[in-house]
Amino acid sequence: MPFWSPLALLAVALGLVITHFAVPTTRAWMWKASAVVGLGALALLLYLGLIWAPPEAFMSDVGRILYVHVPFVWMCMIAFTLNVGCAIAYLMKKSWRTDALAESTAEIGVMFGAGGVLMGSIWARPTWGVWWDWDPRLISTAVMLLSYVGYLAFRSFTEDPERRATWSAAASILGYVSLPIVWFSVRWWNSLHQVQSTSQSLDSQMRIVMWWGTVTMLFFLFAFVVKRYEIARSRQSSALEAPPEAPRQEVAA
Amino acid sequence: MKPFLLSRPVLLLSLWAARALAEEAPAPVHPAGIEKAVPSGVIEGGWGYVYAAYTVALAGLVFYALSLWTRRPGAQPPPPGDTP
Repeated sequence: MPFWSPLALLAVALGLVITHFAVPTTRAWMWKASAVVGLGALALLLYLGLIWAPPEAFMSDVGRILYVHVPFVWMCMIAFTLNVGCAIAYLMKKSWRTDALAESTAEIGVMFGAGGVLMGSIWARPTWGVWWDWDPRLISTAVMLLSYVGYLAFRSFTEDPERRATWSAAASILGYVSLPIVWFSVRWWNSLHQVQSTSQSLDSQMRIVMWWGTVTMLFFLFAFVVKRYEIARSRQSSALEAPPEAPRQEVAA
Repeated sequence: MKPFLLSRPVLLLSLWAARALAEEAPAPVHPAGIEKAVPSGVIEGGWGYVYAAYTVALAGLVFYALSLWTRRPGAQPPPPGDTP
């Protein structure tokens, strides 16, 4: 894949989220449309991935796991990038909305990441001969996921909403350090995991299916973010009797 | 006196023998030239792993969507003593 592919995906995800919040008329229907289109795209992905795509040159049919494993991991990384963006935005200008969005993206990122790791483990058994290996890519991914599980645990254990928002924003920034390590681990170290596929290393049919899978998961990511955000906002309303638009701003002495 | 092994005829003979042995050795299967120690060939079968991975993907999406549905605002009734 070209180096700009993840950035393009991130831009599309960001565009969808910003459109949802900035254009009130889209709030009622855009997530529903995204979910419906995602379901249709998922049905087609099953056909494309299991039947239409050619077998991989060395892994044969086992290589078909690529079309669900990679999109899941990419959605995880996009969700965590949105999360750290919200965390930075919260620290710059305190807002319950960005805090709620950070919470939702972290949970969705963990869900996609855990799914991606589980599928990777299933893929590793017939190709590497083991379910798990203490490989740089796998270790860094596990550390990244655990750091965000800790982030979510911290949020659920902390009662004070302001403290929760501020400290979890700091934890998010710290946790995000692991993401570039995960991405570049296969290049920096001698990893059992293959390096990122390129346009030259993927057959055109395989490339189409992988992108189809990625776009499919992007639809689900957006719909999940919208619904999870509503849950987070509802909990904020319950925690704060009259939820203000923004937490208290510290007044400089 | 020159060591015997470094004399020119023996050195040339050794190089010729090494080259002949290398030419007789089977070429690596992988076009990129992976070392012979790396197993080569194509994995046969494995559909069970493919179905398992796709099931994990579908189950992840379905169960997370269900969890969002059950946690949606207003889904849980207020506790019995909470009414005014």
